[in-house]
Amino acid sequence: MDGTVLTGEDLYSLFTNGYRNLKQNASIVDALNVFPIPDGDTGKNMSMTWLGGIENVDKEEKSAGKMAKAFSKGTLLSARGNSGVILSQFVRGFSQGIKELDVVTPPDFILAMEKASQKAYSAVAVPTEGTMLTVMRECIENTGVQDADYTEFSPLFTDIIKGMKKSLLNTPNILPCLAEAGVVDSGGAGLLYIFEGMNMALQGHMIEESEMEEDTAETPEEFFTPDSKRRSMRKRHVRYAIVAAASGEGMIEYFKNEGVLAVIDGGQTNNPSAKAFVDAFKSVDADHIIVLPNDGNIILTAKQAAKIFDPEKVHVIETKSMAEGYSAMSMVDYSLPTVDALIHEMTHYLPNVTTGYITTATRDANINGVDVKEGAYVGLTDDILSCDTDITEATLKMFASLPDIDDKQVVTVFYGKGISEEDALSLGDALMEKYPLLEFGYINGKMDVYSYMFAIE
Amino acid sequence: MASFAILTDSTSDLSPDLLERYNIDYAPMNYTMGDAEYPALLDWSIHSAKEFYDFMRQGIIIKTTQVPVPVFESKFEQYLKEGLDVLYVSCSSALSGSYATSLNVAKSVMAKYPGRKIRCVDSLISSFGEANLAIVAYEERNKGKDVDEVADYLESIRLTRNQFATVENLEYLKRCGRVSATSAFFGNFFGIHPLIISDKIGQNYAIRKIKGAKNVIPELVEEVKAAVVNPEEQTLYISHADNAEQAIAVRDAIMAEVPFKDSHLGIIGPIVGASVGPGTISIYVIGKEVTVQGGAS
Repeated sequence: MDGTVLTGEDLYSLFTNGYRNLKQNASIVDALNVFPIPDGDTGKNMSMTWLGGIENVDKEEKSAGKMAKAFSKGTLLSARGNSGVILSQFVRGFSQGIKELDVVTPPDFILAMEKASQKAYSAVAVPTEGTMLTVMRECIENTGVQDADYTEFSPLFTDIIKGMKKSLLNTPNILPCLAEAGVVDSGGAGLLYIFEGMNMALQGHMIEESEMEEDTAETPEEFFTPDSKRRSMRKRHVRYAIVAAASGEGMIEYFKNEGVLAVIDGGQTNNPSAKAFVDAFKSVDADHIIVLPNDGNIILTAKQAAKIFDPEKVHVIETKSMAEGYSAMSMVDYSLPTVDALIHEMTHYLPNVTTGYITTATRDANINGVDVKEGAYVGLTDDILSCDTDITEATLKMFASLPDIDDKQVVTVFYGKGISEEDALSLGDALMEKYPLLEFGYINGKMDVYSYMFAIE
Repeated sequence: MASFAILTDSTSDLSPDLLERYNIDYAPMNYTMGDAEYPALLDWSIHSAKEFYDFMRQGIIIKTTQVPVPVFESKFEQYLKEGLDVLYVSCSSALSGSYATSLNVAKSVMAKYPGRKIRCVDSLISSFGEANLAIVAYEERNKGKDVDEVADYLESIRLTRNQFATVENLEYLKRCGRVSATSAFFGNFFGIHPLIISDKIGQNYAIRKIKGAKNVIPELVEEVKAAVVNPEEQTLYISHADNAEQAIAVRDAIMAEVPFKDSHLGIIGPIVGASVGPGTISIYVIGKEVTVQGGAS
């Protein structure tokens, strides 16, 4: 990319990076929905639409015109939602603007942008100002770029992006419902992320595909109007913030409900990246961040992230399971005067926590003297302790082989996906019959891999 | 002849024999079950303690009301007529409006008896912490002090009465708003037992959590050890809400490690009982001045 013209391959890079930047910030765009309910999907719709374009091209296509045409066709087919349809029409106008050209110069690009916004306007029966349409138009019309004499793309993109931002921030002044909700237009924000990504590509910075996996960036302050209620709701300074990794829909929800400010979804394998932790740290505003990795395999990742982010501020409590994380959370008392006192409370009972799991064996084996049969239920702590085709039997045998079960007092039963509350309670009844002095509690953890997880304390 | 009468209220949880031994009278508050209202008598002559706490265990909602104005009026006048002054040791003003009411009633009653005096002292605690201050008043009166001297003295020492309590179910305290703690403190966790102190403004304050029922007694022993001053000169007071077995276990554990002169076990009366719930154990010792204050309740 020499910066003075764009070839087909250059456009491919710009489109791709535009997608990656949008994808990375899709949840921010989603969150700019007018209604205060979590149903926003503008970011998702726009990124799916844009991705359809990328997937439809031959990335080695030399001609800019042909590249844009194929890209446009792809976006038309994959367009979803109002924002996606408008975006695909915008791309269509742009591609028509350069269809004869093998290389595009800055003046060509400006003309194509004007065509693009006209096409986008024509896609809507009654165009509404204060939406992404306005941003598409004003970024050219109001910046005077048509009259400037650009020989390079870099200053052109800088000016277009500046214009987009200005136009975007003005949307609440045009559209009352945005002002009421205290946000800027979400489609316009999505467009800005695309162009910022394209500009990054122009500067030679391609976003790594691996950097895209997490979408936890925080909404920029300026995307909220000055008196927006969301501004204050968004991020509140706290003395202590707890960040935890978890997997399983119910577990994630549980940790959130119990005051974990950022839950990192570890996915089925519960193996989030250091970046995911760093992003989570960035998402909170606290004097001290306490991290619960909740898995023996991600303690090092969490520690590395803490080192990268701010080793003074971030404290990792080495919880080896979500059950340990639960136990640590149960002792939280934010009124404690120092972070050391809080960590002391959270870790005080940890050595006493045994985590038990019930899952299904994937193959026959003989481990730790237990005869494991494929498909049967396996009870395990750090070792495999029991196996039985009956889930209750497997559980009872596992409990029976815990050496310190008589010293335990409280068992919290987390039941996984596919286990009903009734199932969990009847398993608890069987345990209670055997261990009448234990206290039992139940939480619907909706874990993927384990039928049950037990915090035995 | 005593120069003044000592009056307390239903939250002192003083048993009839202690009331008699220390020559203490009390102004009853009321409790209501459904439409029926009963005076909160410390001799349990209306409902037995067992009956009362079983009602609560069955989920019957018991509400409480402060000492009614006519009760204060008749108690105060009764003594003033006899030529006695009155010292009223009240339930913590953070837990009951009785103290505030008593000040008003005292003013109007005193106007009718020139030269006589009613002093109302906010104990900033309840149960045996409050009772202990009333007993101290008895001892100080025996030394020949007048009502003002004793009232001033009580106000100077009240914050040295330390409370350490654990409840079986926090719902009761939460429901009547008589505990200070953030909602994050309670959370949805199992096997957590809060430790509740009476803070420096007389609120019940859930100061920390104890995990597992078996850890409760050792932790209580540690709290008592850390707070107590001159245990050999004082009685260990423990009150319980129909949970004698655990109260005895707590007493034995503390007495084994801390050299109290002796100990006294008693039942938490209906007013305190209605707000803490069955199973509660509450320990009172004289010790370091309480300086902690919880957040808004």
